[in-house]
Amino acid sequence: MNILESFYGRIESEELEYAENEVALRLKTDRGYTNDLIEKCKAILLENVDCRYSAKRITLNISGNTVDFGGFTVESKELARLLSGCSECYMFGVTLGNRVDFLLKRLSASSLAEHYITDALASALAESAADKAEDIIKENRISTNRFSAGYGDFPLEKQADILALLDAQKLLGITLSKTYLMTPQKSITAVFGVKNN
Amino acid sequence: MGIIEIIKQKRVYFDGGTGTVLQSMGLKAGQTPESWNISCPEKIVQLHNAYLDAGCNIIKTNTFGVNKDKYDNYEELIVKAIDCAKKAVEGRNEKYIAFDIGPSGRMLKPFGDMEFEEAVELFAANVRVAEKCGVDLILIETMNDSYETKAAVIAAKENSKLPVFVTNAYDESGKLMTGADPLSMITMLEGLRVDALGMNCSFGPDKMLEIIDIFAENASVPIIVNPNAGLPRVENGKTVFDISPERFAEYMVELANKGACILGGCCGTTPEYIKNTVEKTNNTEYKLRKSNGKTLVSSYTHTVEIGKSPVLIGERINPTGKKKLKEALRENDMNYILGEGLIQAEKGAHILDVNVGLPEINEAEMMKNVVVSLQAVTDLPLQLDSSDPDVLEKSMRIYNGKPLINSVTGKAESMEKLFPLVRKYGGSIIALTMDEGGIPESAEERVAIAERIIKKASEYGIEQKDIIVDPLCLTISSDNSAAKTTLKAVKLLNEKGIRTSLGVSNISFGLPNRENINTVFFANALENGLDCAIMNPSSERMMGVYYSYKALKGLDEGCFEYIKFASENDGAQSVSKPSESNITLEKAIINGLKDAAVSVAKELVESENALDIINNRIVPALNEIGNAFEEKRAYLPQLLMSADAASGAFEVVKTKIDTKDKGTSNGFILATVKGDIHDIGKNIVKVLLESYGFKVYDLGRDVDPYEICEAVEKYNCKLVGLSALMTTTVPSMEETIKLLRAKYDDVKVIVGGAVLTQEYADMIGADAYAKDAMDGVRYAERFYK
Repeated sequence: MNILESFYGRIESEELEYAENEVALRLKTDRGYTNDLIEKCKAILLENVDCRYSAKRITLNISGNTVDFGGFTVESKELARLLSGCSECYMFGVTLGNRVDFLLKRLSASSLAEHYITDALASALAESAADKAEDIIKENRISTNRFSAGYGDFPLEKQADILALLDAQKLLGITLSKTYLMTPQKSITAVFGVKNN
Repeated sequence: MGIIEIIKQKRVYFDGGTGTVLQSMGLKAGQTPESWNISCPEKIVQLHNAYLDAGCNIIKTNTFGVNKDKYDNYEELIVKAIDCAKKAVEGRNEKYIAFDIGPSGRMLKPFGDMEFEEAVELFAANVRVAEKCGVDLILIETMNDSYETKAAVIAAKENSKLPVFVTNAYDESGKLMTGADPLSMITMLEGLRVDALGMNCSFGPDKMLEIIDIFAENASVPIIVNPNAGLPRVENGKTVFDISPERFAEYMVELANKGACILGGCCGTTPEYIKNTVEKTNNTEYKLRKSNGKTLVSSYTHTVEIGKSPVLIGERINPTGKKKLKEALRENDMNYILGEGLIQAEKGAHILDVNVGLPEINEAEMMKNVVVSLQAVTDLPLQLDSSDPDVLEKSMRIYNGKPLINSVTGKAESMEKLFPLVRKYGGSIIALTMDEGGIPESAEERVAIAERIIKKASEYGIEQKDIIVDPLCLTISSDNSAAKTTLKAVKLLNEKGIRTSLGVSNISFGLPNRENINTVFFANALENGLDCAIMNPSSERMMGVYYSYKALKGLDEGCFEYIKFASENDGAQSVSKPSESNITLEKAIINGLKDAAVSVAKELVESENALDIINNRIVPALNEIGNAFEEKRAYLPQLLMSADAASGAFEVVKTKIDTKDKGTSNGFILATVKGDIHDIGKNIVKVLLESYGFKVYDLGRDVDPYEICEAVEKYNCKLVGLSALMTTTVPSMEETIKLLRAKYDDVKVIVGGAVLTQEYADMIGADAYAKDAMDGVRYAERFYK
């Protein structure tokens, strides 16, 4: 594997912004009386966010539907198509941290509405954290869209290789269950290609 | 000399990093360090030799990533690794082999999918091989979760007699990834009686300097410090670290001066780093550790010290005299129990007592469930409370942290059963001053029993600091000198430096208006030096005593805590609040106003029949919001807020339903299928069903198909709802349905979850598909029509 660059960092809660459309997509609400509750949940959530990312810029080779990242390969037509024409890519992981899991667990025992809303908000926040991390690591490079294991024909099993590459257990505290679920729950990994200019 | 003897005399050194050095020796990306144990053992020996030549005393076997889940040939990998280490130390003096254990890479339940005992067994398999081959100690390292650390220590202790050293990986915030701070780890690990503890990996020696003082102030055993060579970065395709060997050694001198005992390195530290460290720190003073003398109990993130400021132990999770809790225990209503825990935490309890003893339930199983569930929602330490040593053992084992245990007595049998458990799993224990002769009448005799208990405990290696004496509170209604005797005993114990605890409300048993007596007695006990009180933190008057006492004793800087308490409880005990602008119960539910719904329901039950309230008010209101939801006039958050409000009202009304009416409730078994840990959807369905009056048997998440069949049998319930979020767990849903079909002709299965569609549901043989929670409710209504 040819690692060109390595990244690790934290994103302060104040820097994370909810993309309103992501929130709306999940909560679909504008009826006055839930907004207070949503604001309350937002505030509690932010107190519990410990957002970190880890990333690697690596070289890759594509032949047919096989994408070779050096240390491991992925068979995926869609991934090969996405990364075609790229000789480098970024792999990254971002997490909101374990305390969000603890918070959600606690809310599940106290209020269904708060649990549901906070869970949805956390999903929206994880997406925006991924956007932020992507901006930080790629600087001004022109890139493809990002793609994650488990989507389309990108096998979910590859999550294990991606997390190992990112040293995600140590740096981000991400572990994988036997069914390839990540803990903390609000974690995202993805790959995107760098366009050769 | 053995390693245990030598660390009592002088500083010894660990080696440095393995993976990073092997990479410089040619290990390719994608190759694991442990694969070289078999493919090129001579290079592993070479690595060990380089560190030994640099002056280290302890080498780690190249087994960090080996376990039986990852490798079928884990035994061979371990045997070969130990062979390499033995070759390297052969003929050298005072050199030791540490069998290295790293994290499993998985998260334990309840946040991950690995059972505690599965983790113990995973590590135990490694330890058994190492024990057979012969090593000098076991090093459990780079653990970033307290629960997994505990599993590894138990595995090491149960399968070998070797010394156990533990180092954890703290992040920049000075905590483990799952939240434990150094003091919590020290508390738990010393409870488990490890031989040395400390930190490794992390972000370099500079970060460790920020937390070394916590170790120095609290650790009773030698402190290990094995940092990285700073932060890694990629330079020209190679990983480099930002701290030089010279700078590293300077940091190590500082760490040694602050109390670090055993020094070494982790990622990026080559033999040169170790050589520099040994040379520069060899002449620093080696301070021996001694007992911290503190009475500490902990949860997975949080430590409570007993003996400084008074500690409140919440008594609400104990079925004695509590009808609703008894019912919740019988019906396995975990939410009620967790709710009791959360309320007490909110009211200011420092520790929660957990007693689930009821004759008709399996106390050990229930205790384990409650402990694990409570620890998932609160970070307060728990007091494990049972008269059955077997129940205590099982719950002490799976407890995440160092618990308080209730209780041992002066009876020989009690001490012989409980002290070995405290020695093995750790804990501070409440000691009741009674023995074969009963409870002595005088304070002096009670103190004498306490001293006998403390002496006996010391024979098991349990220090006085971990014995908290309860000189027993008997009611003044049968003996009017009872309070005087107890208070005197508290005073005498306090003077001897022995920690004390009392179940204060026992003092007024049998009397009317008990709080009058309790508050005065509580204040007196505190004045006599009481360290812990088992009490009800929801009692405003008792809490008033506590906050006033602290303010009066100078334990509350600026009276801040008192002021906060007083402002929150301002006049709340005056006449009951008028209901909010005459809102109806229906309106409160439709608008999702939980507090209003509860207070209106409280008024209604006084004048209206309980079943009528449910059928004519709660259900119609839910139907209205449910219809709005189905027609997309309302969205899920609104529906859920209404469900919260309805549940609140339902809880109030339920207490008034005659028991003869209760038997008619219709059942619904609910589970998230095996392999899936998402339960938000399932919980939504559950609460809605409950609001509609169904009796829900919630089996939780990641539920085995057989367990679901058992529930069908046990509850004689033919309606099963299954939830799955991920495509990968739909096969497990299918498997569950097949098993149910094979066993029962008349069970109906309804499925739901993010990935499911009607098509999918048909394909896996479900009877129905619920696109949302309301669908589930409607199906259940049709089923029972």
